[in-house]
Amino acid sequence: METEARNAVNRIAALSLAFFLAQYNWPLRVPTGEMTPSRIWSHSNRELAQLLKMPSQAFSQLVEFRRQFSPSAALRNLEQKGVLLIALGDPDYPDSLAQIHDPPPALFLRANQPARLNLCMQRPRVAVVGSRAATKYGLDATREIARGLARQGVCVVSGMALGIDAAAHRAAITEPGGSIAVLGCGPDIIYPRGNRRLYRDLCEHGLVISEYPPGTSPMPWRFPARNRIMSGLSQAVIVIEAGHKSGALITADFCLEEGREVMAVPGSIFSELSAGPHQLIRNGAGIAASAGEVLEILGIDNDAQLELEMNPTAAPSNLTGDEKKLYMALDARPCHQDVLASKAGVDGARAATALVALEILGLARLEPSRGYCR
Amino acid sequence: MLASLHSHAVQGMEACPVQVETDLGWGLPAFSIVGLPDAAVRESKERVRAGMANSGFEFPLRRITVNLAPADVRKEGPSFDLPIALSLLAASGQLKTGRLQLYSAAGELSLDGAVRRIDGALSIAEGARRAGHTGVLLPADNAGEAALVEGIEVIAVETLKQAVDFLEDELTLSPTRVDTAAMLAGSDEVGLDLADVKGQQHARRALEVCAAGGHNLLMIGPPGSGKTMLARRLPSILPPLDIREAVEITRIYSVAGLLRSERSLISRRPFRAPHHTISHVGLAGGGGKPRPGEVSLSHLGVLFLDELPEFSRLALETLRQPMEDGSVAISRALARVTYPASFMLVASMNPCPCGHLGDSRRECICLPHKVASYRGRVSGPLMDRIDVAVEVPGLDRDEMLKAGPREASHQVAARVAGARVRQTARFGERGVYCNARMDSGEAERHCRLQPAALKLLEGAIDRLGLSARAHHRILKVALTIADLDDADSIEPAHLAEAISYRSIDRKGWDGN
Repeated sequence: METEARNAVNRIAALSLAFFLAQYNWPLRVPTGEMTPSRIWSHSNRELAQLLKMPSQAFSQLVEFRRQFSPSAALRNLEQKGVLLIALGDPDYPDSLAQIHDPPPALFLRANQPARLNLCMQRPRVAVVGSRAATKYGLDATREIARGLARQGVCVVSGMALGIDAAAHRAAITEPGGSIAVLGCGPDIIYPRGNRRLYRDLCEHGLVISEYPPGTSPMPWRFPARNRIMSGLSQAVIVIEAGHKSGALITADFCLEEGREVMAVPGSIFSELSAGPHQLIRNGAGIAASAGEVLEILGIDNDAQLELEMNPTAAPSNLTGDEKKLYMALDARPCHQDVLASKAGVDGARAATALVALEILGLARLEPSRGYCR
Repeated sequence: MLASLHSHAVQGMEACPVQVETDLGWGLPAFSIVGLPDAAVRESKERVRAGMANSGFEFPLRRITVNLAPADVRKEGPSFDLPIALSLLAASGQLKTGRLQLYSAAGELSLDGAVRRIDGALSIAEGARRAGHTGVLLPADNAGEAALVEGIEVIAVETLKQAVDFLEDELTLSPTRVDTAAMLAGSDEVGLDLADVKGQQHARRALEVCAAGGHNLLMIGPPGSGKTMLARRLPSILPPLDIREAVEITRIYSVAGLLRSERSLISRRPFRAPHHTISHVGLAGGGGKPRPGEVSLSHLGVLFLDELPEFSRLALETLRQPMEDGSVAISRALARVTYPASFMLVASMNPCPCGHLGDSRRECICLPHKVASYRGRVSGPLMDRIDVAVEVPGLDRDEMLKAGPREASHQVAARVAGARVRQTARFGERGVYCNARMDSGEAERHCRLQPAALKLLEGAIDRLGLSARAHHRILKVALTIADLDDADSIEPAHLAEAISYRSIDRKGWDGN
């Protein structure tokens, strides 16, 4: 009974703190350390300002906020928007995130299916991050590795940016492991706008997380901060294609600071986007050349599964002859249907028919302009 | 002294009757033309004066008034030279008026009295037939096209003198006759052949389906993958024109002044490939004096727009109405005309601004939002009117060398023709030419799905997130595929193939 009451107070404190931090127009470091949000929020205004290292002229902002903020109204608003709250100190708060240097006092979540939410929170998690302007090679590698991980029950964490991030989410989202998107804005805000369909699917089949309350708009300084959550949630981070100054490298830095595994996918020596991963490898990052390798380094047992992966799955028995042949010709790399048809030895029109049938059965996927893949 | 003569003014595709009345009055010598003439008609004074004098006639030194009735219809172009000269001769007694009322006349005069070719002669001959004239006097250069109209004598005249002698019955000119069947049959020119295209199974098949059903086609692929090459070979597999269609097309070309005298019948389906800098007026037609645009010039044929996103937004949007209606209505301050524009749109575009998205030969260097905005340049409503979208991959050298034996155009054309026969039987006389032109009611009536196909369709709608409008397009294309297969109802395989041509409806097409 007493713990419950303490938890409720803690949640309200975390909520208030999160709202204040989001409202305040500059990143503040919350020196949580051993302190719970309720402990921090119970400080006097002056002590709190000192604790947060706020400039003196901003002090009045804090006083004003404390005077007029209504936690109950904020909670009602969250409920209305279907946003869940997990406070630092709650039993649900991910341990790995709580262990970092400055964990966010509160997490705002969006997930339409509680079952998928629990799954994402309990699975081992790996962050897959990279450039927004990815090349075909980078996207193919992302899909291959993210899907491989998610198939083995690993949850893929990324930042819902364009390019590598989006590809990682897409590849993992419907697999057993699921996918978590960590946003640099409120969990109800879709940024970039172009990812609205992905956002919808993530809410439906996975999880969208943010340390910012609903309605917080994306600001440049919020993205590096968001990266610490991505690395905090994950056992390891895999960097696929990143230029010299990419945000993916910031995520990797956070990871190193927290003593987590950093891995990189080697790229072409002719591509500028290989600079990031190659630098990481030079500094001792592991090489992630397949999902199996990543799992091995993380010590996730997948021998039986790996076996399966090495021999392409036998086609489901209810397929027709053409469908079976084409299914065997498919792999994780999208391929134009003419190429698949000649590989499978099936003529054009019949191959098109079989591929659509496979797509409807959920055994193949069409990436526009790239082709069919598994 | 008064004389009058029938002629016609071409307005849009139609020729409306015009009475050319000439009065010779007393007073100072003058020559005026009334009845809304444009600059070319006003200038005909000089041509008529010189033409008459140089043909051995006397130009009357009287007060000449020429009225082109009805006075409220605009008269354009030089085609009134011949009728004005003839009525002037009649009014001055140099031409006996006996047979004058039985004929109408049109033609431009040169200063030496020769009769030059005009635009729209085919429409004029049709107008003359409707007006019940015995015959029509036309420049010899235009006689071939005008003779396509049956039920009227087309008298080819080369000079003003000839016309006068004919009307005075001193010279016998037999009506021009053309053998349309021979002209149609003689059109088997050896053109570009599909056998030249290496690989590209999927795109070739899509081309065949589109040709069979008249569907609009979009090809998406990197530069050099053969999109243009494929499109240029489309005419070689399209069904041959019948005579009614050939005359319809010839009429448009006649009005646009694009007919050559040695080829007076357009016997092949037109293939128009305007450059992407074309204006919306050039595409849809119009201008101060309305003329048919590219959409009309590709009537019953193919309009090929290479690099679709490079066309101006306005130009692309003007395509929407003709694609829906099969005709284009042009309203200007001075005129309102309707041109037929029932064409098959074939468009090509790169998958992204650099062109190499999904290309196995080269990396794409485009940012995702650039790709999305490039694709966004082609508006949704225009995309909605595309039935078949096909990805044309760039082939690398190995695939190129490996490509097996390829079908020639005539083999594909035979299948296409077979499918069209089924469609003609289906639509009968109701003027719907092909499956692509079905309205939603007809589509519902004719697209009979087998139970298994229905189940597949439901699965596709759920699983692939296809919209209602995509569903409609898929049914029409599936019907065409069934026609190619000579099947009476749509089987699952037909439907699945039709779905494979809708990659633009899938997730991720708009960069999402």
